[in-house]
Amino acid sequence: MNSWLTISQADPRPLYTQVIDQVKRRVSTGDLPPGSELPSIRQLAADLKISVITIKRAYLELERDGVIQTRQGKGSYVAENPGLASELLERELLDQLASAASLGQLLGKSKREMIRLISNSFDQTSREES
Amino acid sequence: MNLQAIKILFLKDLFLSRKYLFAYLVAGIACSFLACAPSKTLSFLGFILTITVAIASGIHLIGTLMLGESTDQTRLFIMSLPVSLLEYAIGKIAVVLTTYLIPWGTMLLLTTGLTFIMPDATRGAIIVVPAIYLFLLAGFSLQLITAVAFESVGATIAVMVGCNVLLNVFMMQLFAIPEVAEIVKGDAIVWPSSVVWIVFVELTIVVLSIAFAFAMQTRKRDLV
Amino acid sequence: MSAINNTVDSQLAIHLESVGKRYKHFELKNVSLCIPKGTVAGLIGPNGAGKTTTMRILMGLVTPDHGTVRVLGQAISTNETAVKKEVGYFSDDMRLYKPESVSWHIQFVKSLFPSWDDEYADELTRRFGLIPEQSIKSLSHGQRVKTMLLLILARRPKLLILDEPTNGLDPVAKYEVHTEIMRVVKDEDRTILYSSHNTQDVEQICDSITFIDRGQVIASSDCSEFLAKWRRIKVVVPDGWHPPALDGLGLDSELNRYRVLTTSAYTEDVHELLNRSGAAIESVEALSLEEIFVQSVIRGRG
Repeated sequence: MNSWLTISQADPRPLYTQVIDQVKRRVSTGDLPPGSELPSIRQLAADLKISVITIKRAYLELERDGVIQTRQGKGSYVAENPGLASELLERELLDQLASAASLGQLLGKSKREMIRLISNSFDQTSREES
Repeated sequence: MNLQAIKILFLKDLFLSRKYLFAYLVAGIACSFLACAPSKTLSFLGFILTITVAIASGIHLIGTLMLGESTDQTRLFIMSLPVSLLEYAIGKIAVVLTTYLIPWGTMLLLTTGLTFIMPDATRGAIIVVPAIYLFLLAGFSLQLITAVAFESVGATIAVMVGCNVLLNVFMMQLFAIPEVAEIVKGDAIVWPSSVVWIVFVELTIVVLSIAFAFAMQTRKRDLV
Repeated sequence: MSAINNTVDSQLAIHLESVGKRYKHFELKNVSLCIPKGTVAGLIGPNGAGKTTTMRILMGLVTPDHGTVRVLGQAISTNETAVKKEVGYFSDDMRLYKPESVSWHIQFVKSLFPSWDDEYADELTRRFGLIPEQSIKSLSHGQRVKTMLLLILARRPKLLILDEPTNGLDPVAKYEVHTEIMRVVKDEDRTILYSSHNTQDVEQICDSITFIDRGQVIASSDCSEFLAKWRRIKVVVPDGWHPPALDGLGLDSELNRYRVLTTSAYTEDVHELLNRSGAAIESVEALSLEEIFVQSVIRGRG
């Protein structure tokens, strides 16, 4: 019980995606450092009250993405990769840039204009931070 | 067959019917004493009441222990436990018979005993007591068959009413047999062959109908 | 042949093969069902679809007219008691003895199960908030359901057959009941068959789902498979357009050149086939399990 993972019924995304996203998020923020143990598939299924097959699928995809490692009979752990957190953030950055680019194309923005917009956003965020 | 399971089911039903059983016993004992009262009116009333207790307890037991279990759906609960149909049937028929026979037997013995020791009772009357009580038991067995076969309170009550009506006819015929009429008035206890035959026929009906009820119960394909 | 069947049966908790049962106003027609050990299976159908009859057949409470029934690898017809020792059956129709208490029922059921777990029974009593001395007739519907579940769970059955366990429960009671049911799943070789007329009850917890309607199984597969195979496709088509011959593709509605299609056999190929037929795809949407259920029933009824 009291799992840091939660499932939202109001979220239209499939359940396994919700699990994947939350694990990735906790790894990229460092709350789940490399080597930390994840609950077993059946334990998590019982805690979240969602099917074993859903958790299995989420763990398989996380494994394929190199986020976690499953050792036969020993359970699942966050991959022993010191650069994993920044790698995940980097991947997310690229994903978001890609969607920004396609939105820009939809609006007929030029490459130069896109670069200017990104540069503006960057400056704005830096100002807010300081 | 698992004897332990049958025992558990039997004791469970015995426990569930403990209050009724106690009530029938108290009523039966009281009525048996009343039947031997010196006043003619009171003793007749007592006699009628003993028969009423025997009939009412029978139909009530069949209604609660047997039919009640299927109408209340508690049978669904029992049959989801590791109990076979055969074990269920044995336990059920055994407990219904036992709970009936306890007050019935007590009344039979008390009536016989009291007739024997009461100063103003004619001891010869003892010879009709088993015949009448076995008639009641045979009626009960027939109700048991009906309950098992039709699982219907209505049908079982209809058979009970039938038996009740026939009981009066039976007693009139019994006392109309010349040798019986003679013995009943005297103090000597003599068993005429007519009474022995009646008892034998009644016993046969009891045994056959219980065997038949049992066979039917075990052959049911769908219990719910 | 029998050797193969035996190995298959050793991995199956439930195996029904062309099981049929005829009643006056209802018939269960050739129901086949395979449920592997260690999984949670949902049996979904409208009221009166045959869920209860199927479950009663599995418990040996109803004898089918034909077909084979194997539960935990054993034929129910010849091993009734042995099977029932390992199975916990819950039915909404089931009643306990009204005048007796919760603890009386616990003692009674315990006496029939050597596997009874006292500690677990106490734990469940606490977690469900039950009062052992309370008589059954004074319990609310939710408490009665929890009492019956306690009587089933504390014997630690290998298979749970739950016929509409959350019917009529308030959201909190439903949450508590689901929590206890899912705890069972932690154990790798314990299986659950869960029936409901409500897809939302089972959507999250079930690995596989079987839809049943009018006494027949109309679809059965992994939950994720259902969700992956069904899509609603919105297209704009040229005049005189005919839908391509494609298994599982149905037309839901149309407005001039706009069509709403539903498919039960979605793959990437569907895009190409539709494009080739001249249709321009506007959107492809996933369906909820409830929509899939309703569609399956409507299609099954023809």
